[in-house]
Amino acid sequence: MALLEARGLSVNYGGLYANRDIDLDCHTGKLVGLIGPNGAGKTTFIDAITGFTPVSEGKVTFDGVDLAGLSPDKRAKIGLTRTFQSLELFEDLTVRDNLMAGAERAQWHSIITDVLMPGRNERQYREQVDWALDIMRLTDRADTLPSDLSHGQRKLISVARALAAKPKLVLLDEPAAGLDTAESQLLGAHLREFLDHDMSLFLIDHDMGLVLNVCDYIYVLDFGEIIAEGTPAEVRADPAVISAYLGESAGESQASSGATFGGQQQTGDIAGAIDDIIHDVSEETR
Amino acid sequence: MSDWPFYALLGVGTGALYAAFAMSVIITYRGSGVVNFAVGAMAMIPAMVFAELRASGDLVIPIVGLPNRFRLGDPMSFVPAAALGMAVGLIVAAVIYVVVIRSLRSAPPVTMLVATVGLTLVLQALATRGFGNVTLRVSSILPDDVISLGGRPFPVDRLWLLVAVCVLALGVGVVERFTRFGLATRAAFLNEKGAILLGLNPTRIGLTNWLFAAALAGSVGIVGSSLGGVSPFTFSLFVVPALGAALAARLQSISVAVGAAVAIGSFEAIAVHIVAQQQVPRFFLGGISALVPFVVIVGALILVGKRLPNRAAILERAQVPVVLARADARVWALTLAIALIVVVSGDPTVRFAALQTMFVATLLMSIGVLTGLIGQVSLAQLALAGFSAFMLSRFDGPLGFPLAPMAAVAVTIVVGTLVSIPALRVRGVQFAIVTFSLAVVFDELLFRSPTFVGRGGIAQVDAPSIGGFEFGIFDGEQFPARVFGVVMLVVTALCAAVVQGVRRGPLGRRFLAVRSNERAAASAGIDVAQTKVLAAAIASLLAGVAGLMFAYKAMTFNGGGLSAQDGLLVLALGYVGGVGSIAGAVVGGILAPSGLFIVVILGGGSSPDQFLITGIALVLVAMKFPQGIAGSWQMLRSRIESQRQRDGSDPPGHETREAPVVMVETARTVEPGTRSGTSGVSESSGATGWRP
Ligand SMILES: Nc1ncnc2c1ncn2[C@@H]1O[C@H](COP(=O)(O)OP(=O)(O)OP(=O)(O)O)[C@@H](O)[C@H]1O
Ligand SMILES: [Mg+2]
Repeated sequence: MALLEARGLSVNYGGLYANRDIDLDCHTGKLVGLIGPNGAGKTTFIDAITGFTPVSEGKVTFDGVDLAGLSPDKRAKIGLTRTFQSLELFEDLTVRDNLMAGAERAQWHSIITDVLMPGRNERQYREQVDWALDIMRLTDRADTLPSDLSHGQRKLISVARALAAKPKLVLLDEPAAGLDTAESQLLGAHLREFLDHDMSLFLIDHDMGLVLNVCDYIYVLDFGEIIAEGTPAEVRADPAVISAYLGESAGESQASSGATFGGQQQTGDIAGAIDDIIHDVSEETR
Repeated sequence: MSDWPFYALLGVGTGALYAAFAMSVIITYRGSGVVNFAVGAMAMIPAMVFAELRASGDLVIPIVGLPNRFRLGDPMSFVPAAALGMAVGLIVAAVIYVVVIRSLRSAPPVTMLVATVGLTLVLQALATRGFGNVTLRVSSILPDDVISLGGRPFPVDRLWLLVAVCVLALGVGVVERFTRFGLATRAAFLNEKGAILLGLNPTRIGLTNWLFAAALAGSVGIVGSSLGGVSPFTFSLFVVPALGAALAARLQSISVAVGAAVAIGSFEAIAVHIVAQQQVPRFFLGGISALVPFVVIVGALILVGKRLPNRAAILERAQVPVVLARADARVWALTLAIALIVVVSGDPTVRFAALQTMFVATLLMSIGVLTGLIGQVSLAQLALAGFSAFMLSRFDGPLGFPLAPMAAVAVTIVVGTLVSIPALRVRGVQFAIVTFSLAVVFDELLFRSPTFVGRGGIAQVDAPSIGGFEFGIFDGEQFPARVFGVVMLVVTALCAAVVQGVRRGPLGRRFLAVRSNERAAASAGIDVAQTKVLAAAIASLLAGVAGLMFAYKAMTFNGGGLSAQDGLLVLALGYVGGVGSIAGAVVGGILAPSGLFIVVILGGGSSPDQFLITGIALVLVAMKFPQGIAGSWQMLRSRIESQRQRDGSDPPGHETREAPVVMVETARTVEPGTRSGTSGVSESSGATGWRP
């Protein structure tokens, strides 16, 4: 049985299906990717899995637990954490405290111990936080405020915060967006490292180089539906994917809906980018 | 039962006033993003000027330092008096906009709220100085016939007022929907940057809306002043139902707001009638009508509010900066030593001022937990303290010293926690409005209820004593007794220690995480609702202790000094001192009315002046130093420290940096476009869509 199983998952935003009938598995120790054009419903999928948006139909189980009715914080407590596309850091807390807040798991009695013996509960989490800081190369920034750091470093903090709790599965929403190529490659290298620490990953990104390089298995989403899945090699060769990114149907729908869905206007750029990248990657693999 | 419709109709007059204020609030909010707490006080100025002109013919201008009363001859007739009143009101409004509101456009909503609370205090103080603390009554200018309605006399002026307000509302609706100006306002509200790019001027749009809102509230204030007279404080309390109606309309729909406001007015009249008929237990003889707006507000918020803000709405995310300083044992020791000297000083007035300072400081620590750590601006902490004081007087007889105060605090914690539960769905300014209406409920329903307060409306406590050792405020020789001061100091220090314990530990981190970003907190496994309730419980504990101080300090007391109005002042002191730090609470306590600063440095001083100074300080703090006196000082110190460190002989390559002990204003992150271009619907565009 897979760690995360989504069966027939649909999310309906007032008549519009942002996700429709999605079947998706994440297996322990694997890095699963989800790609798709802007507005395809990728973030919505993460929101639905982590409890930030209600699921209209379908069922999600995580580690054998049915997630229906669990609040986002309960899901985090059973080992399902996420990052946000818009980072959502705790701007009032230092980098270390951002991670500490992510790592700590309060129990009902910690209210008392937190006031009377504040140091006691912290000790066990400090190590985890140090590890996450170290792995993201943030140790020397631990005592600064996020607002004093560069965008790339802020991205790393958001990933580190999701990792600090040593969750079973981390859902990453475009962690490489806005990073330069070197930073993005570094991130890719880190991601594989986490798998060795008993964590599984789920990655959304527009950076095709990153996704095709690091993922074990990839799902492709378009207009809320899974249009293809498979290993990177299979996905790259899939005609449905190519047409979603490059094909004429995308061009047509862009023409008809481009004005309302600003994101779709970028399809052309993506097509160019994916072309270059596929070229790069295939050269690299050779 | 059958006479309810009659009383409902009687209430529409007040309801129409509420409606005008609610519209004014909404227009202001649309125009400049400010929830204007001062709407009532701003309407009071033209109404007072008008009433004074009608009564004595004197033109009174709300300023200090210059002659402010001009004899214009005989009492004036309606039209010139109204015109002059409006002129003064609009000038005041324009000055307020240019000096204060304009620069607050991009401030956190909570800062705006604090600034308008400051404005309320300033305007009230100015009016009290100019007109005196009087209620001016003017004859009705609306047709004041009395008709017979089902055999009862019914004054028709209130119906006319309602008609006038409805016509105004229609006009507002038309302007909003069908004119270029209405469109420009909406554009600037939804996306200020975009509006600028289109060649609109948000500042001017804001000013026009602001003046329009002020004119609307002011004119209805003038016309409505005949219903019950005007005093510097009357309209200020109308803010509660007005804000309630505006909230019910989600600060959007004018028609819903007017409907809700009129309904509130009607239900209040029915409530008053029920009380007058003695159809309710004696307990509620206080002010049952205060419950009506509270119920409407809470109901509206439960319907409208969300447990977690969704990703499109980053409403109210920005927070007032908090200063997180590490505890410095030397500072604590020094402060305690000085406090001890003051508490045992030879001068009884100084000793008494010290007691007041400690009471307020403890109360401010309570506000500090809620506002500083969890980001909820509470205006009800003074009311909770009052509740605790009255509970103490109830328990004092049967339970005696150590048990009675413990029971009082326990009950206060329970009540404070319970009332925080409906407020879980609201944040920022909305929370402030809920707590303000709650403070009004406490004041009018409980603190004035003879059953709750005790015989003759006066509560009493005995001097505390353990094993025959008495340590009350009066020990038979000195007043106030030194021992009492020392005990209060110990209690204050204990409270400070609890707050410090919370702040520096995991709990404080969780609080700040929730304050920074509720969505992220939930994703980090923090139960946001539970954390907020916990903060409310801790804050109630501190407020409860402050209430004990209040009671033991006074021995006999009534609701005086515990009103919602006083609650505004307490919040003001908290902000001036610096919300969210213990030092800030102490500074606020020192600056409190009858506190050490006023008594020792200023040598007393009259009350309106204190309010004036506090109000101005509050506005200034909101505009220039949102972290308060203590916060600014700590910020300065840490800046100097890090400067020194940079200049110092740090070996090159030495990487550890001193932890910044200061939190600067949270930047609202605007995400640069994703690499392949940001979609128009992504979260990042949501962030930029909010007022930059
Ligand atoms: N709260 C909401 N209410 C209504 N519609 C929404 C909401 N959130 C997202 N949508 C819609 O759902 C669709 C999918 O959005 P989503 O953000 O999940 O896409 P995405 O694949 O993450 O895009 P991007 O690559 O730009 O991040 C979009 O059409 C969006 O407009
Ligand atoms: Mg997305």
